[in-house]
Amino acid sequence: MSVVAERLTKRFHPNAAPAVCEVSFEAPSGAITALLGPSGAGKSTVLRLIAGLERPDEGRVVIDGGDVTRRAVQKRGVGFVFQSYGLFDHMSVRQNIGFGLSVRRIKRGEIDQRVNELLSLIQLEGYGDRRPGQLSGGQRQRVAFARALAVSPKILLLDEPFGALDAKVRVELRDWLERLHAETRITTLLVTHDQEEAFAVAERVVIILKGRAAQVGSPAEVTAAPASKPVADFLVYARARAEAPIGPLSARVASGTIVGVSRTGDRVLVTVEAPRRLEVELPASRFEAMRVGEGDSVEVDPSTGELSPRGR
Amino acid sequence: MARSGRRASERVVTESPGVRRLLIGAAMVFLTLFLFAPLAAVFVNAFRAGAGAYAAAVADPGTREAIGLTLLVAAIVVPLNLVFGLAAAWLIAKFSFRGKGAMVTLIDLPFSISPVIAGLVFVLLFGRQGTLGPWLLERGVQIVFAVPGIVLATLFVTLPFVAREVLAQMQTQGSEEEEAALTLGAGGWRMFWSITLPKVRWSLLYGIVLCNARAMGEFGAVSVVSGLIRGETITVPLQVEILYNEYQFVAAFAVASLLTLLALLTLAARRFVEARSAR
Repeated sequence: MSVVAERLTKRFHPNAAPAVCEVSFEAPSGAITALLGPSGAGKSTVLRLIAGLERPDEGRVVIDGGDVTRRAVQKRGVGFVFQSYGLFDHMSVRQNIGFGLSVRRIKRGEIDQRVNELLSLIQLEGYGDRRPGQLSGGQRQRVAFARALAVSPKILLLDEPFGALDAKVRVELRDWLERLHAETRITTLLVTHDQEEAFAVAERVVIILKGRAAQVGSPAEVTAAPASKPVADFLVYARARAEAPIGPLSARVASGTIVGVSRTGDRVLVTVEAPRRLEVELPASRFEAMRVGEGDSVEVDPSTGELSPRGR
Repeated sequence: MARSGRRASERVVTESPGVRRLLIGAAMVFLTLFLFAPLAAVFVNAFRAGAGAYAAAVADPGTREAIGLTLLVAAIVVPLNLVFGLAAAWLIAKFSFRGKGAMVTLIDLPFSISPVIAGLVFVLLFGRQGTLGPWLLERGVQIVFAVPGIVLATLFVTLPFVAREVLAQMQTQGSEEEEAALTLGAGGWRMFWSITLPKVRWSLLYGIVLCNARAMGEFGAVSVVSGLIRGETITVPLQVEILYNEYQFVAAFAVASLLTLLALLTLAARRFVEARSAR
């Protein structure tokens, strides 16, 4: 189920520069393809054109060999995950996940069964009767994934799916997405402005700058030989931002190993090598509840000093 | 949110206790004079001659007919403005088209225009000397000085309530949930009933409550098109005025107390809706 974009062009205002200009690329079947670029570059618009949420002024969208440019969004067989979840707040988690199935007039029993499977896939068994408002951001986004997967889409379209989450949950959910993709092998398009995220999960990267596809290739190809100066500048800029956190907003979770624990009264000073040395002080009771010690791997948020066990 | 707001306001209060007491006192005196006293006066005057006189005033045939007409007008006007308001809000919030700005402004016209003018417009359109009046009268259709005129004038005056409330909520909510429904295979109709309508249910209810209160209480526009024909074109507010002009003060206040009760119920409904929608 490959996706091909052919010279896609979209203008929102007749006199302004097009938001998307002659974008062409192929997202190979069964792979994760990342659309990477700075905010406002038009990557989300490309995704919405492929989904059918916008109509292109020019160009074609081809899914699995068939031209779907004129086909309605409902009939394109795409699952879409939004940055701010887009969950139906007035419905329970079960109803959210089952919505696409009930639209297809599938029998109640079958829906219940499928929803149960999906709840266990996203590790939220027992949360089915809650409202989205009672879940954390990471849980909500997992529900949004399950809802999109419920209708067995041919293609999964993810619009900055981790953008609204804090750094720790973002990394967790990204790992989860990789495992999910390894299981389902569903053709996936991921829109992100985060170079690290794109390179971590995608087999192929489409770099979008100012509405144009500036380079298409594997992460290794793109890093090794940026096609133009703007691409090189963007990659360097994105990397610099990732490596030099300025304040809590761009802070990143560091993974590392505990190399020292010293206790004074009811406080514990934990030294972590991640790989630079970080020291975290926390109440002894909290540390003991984590059941970790020297040699165990943990995650540290340098901006808040939050320590958490890893790999559970 | 509320807690941090309170903390912030405590921090900025710098007036001395004396000044604070003075300000609160002034506000209380003002409220008593202009809100509580008139409210109390309505009920005191209504029951001055006892509960029997009150009941007799409400049971009077003229009053009963006025109540009937008011209920009829509200029963026609509220559903129509509900449908129109939803459609207009949907159109403005979800689509872009030429003249959209003008449409948003025009929806507010009934609020910015004097109700008397609103009534007069229909007399000028449908009256005996009006633009369309003679043509309609030849075909036996009487609009002005009849129930259709009252319905039209009330429709006009109450038009913005539902549209404005729903539009404001739709604009803050955005379209992501609707788009999600579309990608899941829902058609336009299914999306509207399952997603859009439940999302705006509280503002819709609020708009209906306000629209109903105004439809039952409107005086100015209705008095112009009514012609004050006893037993035919008298609504409750007009009945109050007639009784008052005939020096039947107890009866006038008794009927007025019905409208006041409606107003209090509306406020209660508003509080309820606001509390629910804030959750």
